[in-house]
Amino acid sequence: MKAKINPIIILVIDAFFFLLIFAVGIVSALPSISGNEASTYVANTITIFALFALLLLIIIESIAPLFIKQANRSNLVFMVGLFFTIFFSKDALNLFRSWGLPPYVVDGTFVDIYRNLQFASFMVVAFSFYIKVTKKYGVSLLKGENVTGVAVLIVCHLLFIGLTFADQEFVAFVLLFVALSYFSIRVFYLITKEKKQNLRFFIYTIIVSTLLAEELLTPLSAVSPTLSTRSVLPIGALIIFFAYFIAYLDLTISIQSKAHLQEEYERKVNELQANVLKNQIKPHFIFNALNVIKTLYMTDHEKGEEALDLLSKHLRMYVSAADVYLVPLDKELEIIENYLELENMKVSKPFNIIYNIDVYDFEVPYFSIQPLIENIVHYSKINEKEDGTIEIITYKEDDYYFLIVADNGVGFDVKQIKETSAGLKNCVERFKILLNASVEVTSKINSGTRIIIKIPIKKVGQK
Amino acid sequence: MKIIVVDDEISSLHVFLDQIIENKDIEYKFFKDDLNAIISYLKSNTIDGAFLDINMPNVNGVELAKKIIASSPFTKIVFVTGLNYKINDLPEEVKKHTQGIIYKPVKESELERYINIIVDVKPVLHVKTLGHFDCFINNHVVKFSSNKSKELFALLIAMNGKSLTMEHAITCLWPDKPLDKSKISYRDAVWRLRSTLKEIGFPCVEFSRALLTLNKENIECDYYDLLNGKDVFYNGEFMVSYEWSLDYENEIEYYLDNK
Repeated sequence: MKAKINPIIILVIDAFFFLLIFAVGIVSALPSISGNEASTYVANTITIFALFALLLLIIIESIAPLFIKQANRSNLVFMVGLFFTIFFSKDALNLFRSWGLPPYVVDGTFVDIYRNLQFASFMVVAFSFYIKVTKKYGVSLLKGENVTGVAVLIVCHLLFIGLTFADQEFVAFVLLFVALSYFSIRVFYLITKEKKQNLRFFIYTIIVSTLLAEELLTPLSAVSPTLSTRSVLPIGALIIFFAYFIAYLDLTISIQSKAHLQEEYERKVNELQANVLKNQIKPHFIFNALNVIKTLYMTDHEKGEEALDLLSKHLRMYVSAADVYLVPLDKELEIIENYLELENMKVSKPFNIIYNIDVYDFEVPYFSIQPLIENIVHYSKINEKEDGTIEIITYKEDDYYFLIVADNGVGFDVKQIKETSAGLKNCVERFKILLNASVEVTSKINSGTRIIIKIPIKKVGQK
Repeated sequence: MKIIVVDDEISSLHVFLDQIIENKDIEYKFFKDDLNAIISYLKSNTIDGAFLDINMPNVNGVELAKKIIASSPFTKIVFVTGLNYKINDLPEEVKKHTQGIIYKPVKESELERYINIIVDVKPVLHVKTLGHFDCFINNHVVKFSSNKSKELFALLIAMNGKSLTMEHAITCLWPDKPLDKSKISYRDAVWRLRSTLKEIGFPCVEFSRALLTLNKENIECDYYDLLNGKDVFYNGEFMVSYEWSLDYENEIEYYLDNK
């Protein structure tokens, strides 16, 4: 089942109930109302009702992704986190109280643990939100980052729980600093990586950090009364500032490593490109062609001239291969047409090729398909077959351009990849590294070979 | 018409001599890469075209082009080179005046093409339909890369500028083939036709998805002449090699009877 649940509508409904509880909380705290028993009763009822609705919604939302065809794990985590945040919130305690839970469960140490669990689930929500956002904006997470991030958060939180019983002010402050700054750093990463989103993410960070600080102080004030709500803003601001400074240093290091990666990439591309000529220049090909031309000239001047033109064109395109990386598809197919015409002059039966071209507005590495065709010409023995054909197929599907080079020749044992020459490996590598394409080779003995190249379509703005 | 040919190797002259002698209207002057001689010639003569080699020991062809353009901005430049130079590699001020690049070994048809450009003769595609179907450009017959792509072009010509759908093309060209196979053959023929037209420098067909449209501009066709009332000899044969031409033959007969 592929349900089209609009996540925005869900979040709007959730937000509505959240705001309802929040509003009721504020209103009932007003002096004119707090004393009034009737309005307190109304406020409590509304809160309880809203909480119940919210709990129910979140349960459904947590389970729903399991039934969607492509369950989005981060959405699931997000919803589960939200669920537990509500479940462990101080307002939920009222709900349970109203259900007649014994007082010791809702007071004392249990309350502290309870609130810490709320903090934990809040962090889970924040973290999954972070993952969602980074995925959306295409920021790549470093391999170990997820694990490290979660581990640090969990460790911080366990320490906080322990802190409830420990009663040490200094440790509390340090842990507050660590948790807050770690999270700020991570969000700061998003700001600086996405320059356009600067202002928005900056605001997000402030809001999240402030909320975090508020949440953290609830258990902390139980430990140390001096850390009251009034001091949260200056302390928080100081921590955030310090966090940004560390993030700035972190970022400088990452820019340098990014430059290093870029250097590595360029070096690899240049190496592959240099190997194009090295692998392709085959003197015997040129001498063979010249021989054919000489023979043709003796019997048919016009044919000899034609062959000479073809060889010149082939060599000319060859020579520029060292500095050209990508060409439009029709240029590459021009090379192939030229090459096959040249080959056809040497054989009695011309090579049969079908251009099944449905789309051609994309680029391929220069001299990357021609070696594949050359391979077919030399090894597939398709000319010995009655209906031997080479087929080049292109089409567009989903977000990919498909380029398929197929023949119905003798095929080969794909497992014996060692037989593949360095020249072919070079072509495949260039497709992978220059276009981020995937290359799949399937072959069946006596049935033929199929090389399927899948090129992702570049989205506007992507590098 | 005056042109100059500049090359450090004398042998390059022979190619031009053969071609130029055929056309009596052209006055030519050959230069080795002697900058001063060329410039002083330009001072007293207006030249319409300049064929320049690029890699020369005494002066670079592109630099020479700049000097020629400075002294004679209406001269059309054509580079003749053995290297894989592309038009886009040239500096902007030279690009504007460059008509194209001919690659050595020089193809006669290419040379003819650029001489026509210099004389301001637009390339014309001569299409013969009465009898067998054939096309000519720059005095050379157009070689299509496959029979079906030639037939496809013939069909486009027969349709007289009306758009050709994939379905109609398949019905005419591959009447007995199953649809999925004929679609592949269609794409193959379209690709080959596009390639051939690009090669001869006459992009007269607009290729859009499953629809081909012929631009009749600069096409001289005996069939079109006949339809326009000109006195053309018709012996009952129209594109004889193709089965679907029968319908058109009938139409022509009907038209001639009712003239």
